[in-house]
Amino acid sequence: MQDGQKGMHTVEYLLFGAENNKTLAQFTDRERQYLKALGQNLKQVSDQLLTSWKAGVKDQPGYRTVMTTAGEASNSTYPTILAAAQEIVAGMLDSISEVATEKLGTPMKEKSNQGLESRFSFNTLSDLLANVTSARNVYFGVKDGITPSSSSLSVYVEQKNPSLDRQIKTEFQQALSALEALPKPLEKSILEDQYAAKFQSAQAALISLQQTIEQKLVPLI
Amino acid sequence: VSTSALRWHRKLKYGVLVAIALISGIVLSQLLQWRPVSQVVSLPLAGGDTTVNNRSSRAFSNPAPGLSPEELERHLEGDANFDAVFVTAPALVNPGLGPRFNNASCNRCHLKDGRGMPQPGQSLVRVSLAKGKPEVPGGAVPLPGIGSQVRDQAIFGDTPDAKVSLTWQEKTGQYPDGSPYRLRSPQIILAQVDAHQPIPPETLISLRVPPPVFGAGLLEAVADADLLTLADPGDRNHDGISGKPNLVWDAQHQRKALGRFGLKANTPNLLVQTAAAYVNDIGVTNPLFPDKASFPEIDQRTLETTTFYVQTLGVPARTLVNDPQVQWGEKLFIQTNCAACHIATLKTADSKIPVLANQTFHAYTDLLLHDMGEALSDHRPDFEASGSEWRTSPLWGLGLAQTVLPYSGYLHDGRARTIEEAILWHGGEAQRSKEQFMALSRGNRENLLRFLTSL
Repeated sequence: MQDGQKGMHTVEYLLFGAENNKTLAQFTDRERQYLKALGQNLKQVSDQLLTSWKAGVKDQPGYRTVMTTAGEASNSTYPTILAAAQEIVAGMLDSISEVATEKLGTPMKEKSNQGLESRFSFNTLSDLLANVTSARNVYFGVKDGITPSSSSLSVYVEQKNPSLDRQIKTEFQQALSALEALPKPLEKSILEDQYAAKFQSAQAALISLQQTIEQKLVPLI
Repeated sequence: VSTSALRWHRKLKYGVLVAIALISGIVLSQLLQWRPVSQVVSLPLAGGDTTVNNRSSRAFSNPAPGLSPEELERHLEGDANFDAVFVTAPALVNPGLGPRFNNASCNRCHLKDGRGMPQPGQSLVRVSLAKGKPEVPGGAVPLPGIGSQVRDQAIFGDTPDAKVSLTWQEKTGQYPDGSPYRLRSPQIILAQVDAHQPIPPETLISLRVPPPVFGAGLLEAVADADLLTLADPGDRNHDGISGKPNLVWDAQHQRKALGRFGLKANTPNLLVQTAAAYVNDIGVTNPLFPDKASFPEIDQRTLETTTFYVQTLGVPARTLVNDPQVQWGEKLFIQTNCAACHIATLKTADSKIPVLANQTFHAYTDLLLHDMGEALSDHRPDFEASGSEWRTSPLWGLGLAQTVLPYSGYLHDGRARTIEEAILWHGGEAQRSKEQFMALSRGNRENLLRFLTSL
């Protein structure tokens, strides 16, 4: 079966319908069977991901071990600590720029809700907020919250350039606030001209954050 | 539903980020005592001005520095094209997949702009016949009804060209110092799927893994004359190493041209490479390879921006250049004459893309064909390349191959699980270099390998 016929958003489509408007009565037996199979497949893939993270597969160590042994002689994935630090920053940056350019930017440019992340369930906004929040969690070195851990990227930046750390924290907050200010559901508001300015300012806040990290944080690594 | 897989991919990345947040503290606590790289080493510019300082799993996926704002926008548009998942027409988003195909998007084979795995769905089987009428002047002779590659997937209602399965054979050997090694090679089995589409038993078969795509713009911008100067097809200098240009068909200009892309250098430029990949690998017709009965499934702009994306990906900077082991390994690389084909430095001529013009860069290739011996031969000629002749693979980014894609392999069919195994497969013109490598002490072999991982 094609990848495009599997996965979470196929499940989403089958559960919610094309416009978040599916009723229980509309579910056919065939769809229930399909959903069950997709759910099993999703669990299988997720389990594999977890295994490769924790224990490793194909005689390789788990990824968390690969990451935390960066710079050791036996580590060919990250032969320097620097490479692992770049991985962390690149992951954070990728998450922010993807929201700015693709997840929000492309639908804005096309004035269409077709490309929105979770358009079948009208859940896109919470997805985008989660993307940016998790990038901030990486910066703070925490699972959740806004108190940086003592060995976080935030503390590292603060040591090098305190005003940059303050700027990044502020811009994270501004980007998240601008996203939260978008009228729900995104799947409808993106089509209406009256909200265009709000979308533009959310995108601008994300781009500003991205540029600050690219231009000021990356050179510190 | 059409783009759901792409979205799922993003979800995975999101999950991974959460976990990265948790363990990043361990790495960063070490980083706190780490000096910025600029104080430690001077980074050699592997890609000239297009070099990026990134040794992460995203090392192959960065735009070249120095693009103008307009160029960067075009690059990002091409990036989205490279990710676009095609689906069966008709559809609102990205219609045109198939009817027969290998995969549904560029980046599902060139994973993170790097290589793909030696497994069905990511690797490609090229096929041809020894005799008959070639597809294009001088080219391979296609299989009737199939062409010159096996499209092992099909949309609903159609059938694939054939079913591809791989089995692996292992063999053992040992170094002069007694250290043992194991090598594996693939056996490719093509099974008939369509009752009306037999696979002739005399079919010539060659397995290929997708190569990385970054830096290709620089390779394209090297003048033909420079490569022809490096060539020595008759080995007039008697060093045992020839270097032969491939002369291939240029579908864009409808004439013969110097080949420089593909594992046998069977493609003249990146526009042709991109257009051929769209139509053959994804089944998406385009202005260069249209289906006469209907409109192309992508337009000229899409074709050109996707090509531009590949042309303008940055090249990762080398790492560990001040490491004594790496420096010693580099000397051994030259001493064992690896650098005769994997030449360190090339220069670009002028280019329409300013950042690619007049660059000195270090890809470790001469882009020429060399006889690599019987063990690597696929016995399938491709234009001027014989079965045992392969284009010298660029070695830049070699040390990042398994950072970008863990478990990925080396050589044309991904048979080598490590860089060391890849060296041990070398034969033909590289036989003597391989023997010299094998005769090194274990420590020196490790030094040479450490140099290669610094690339």
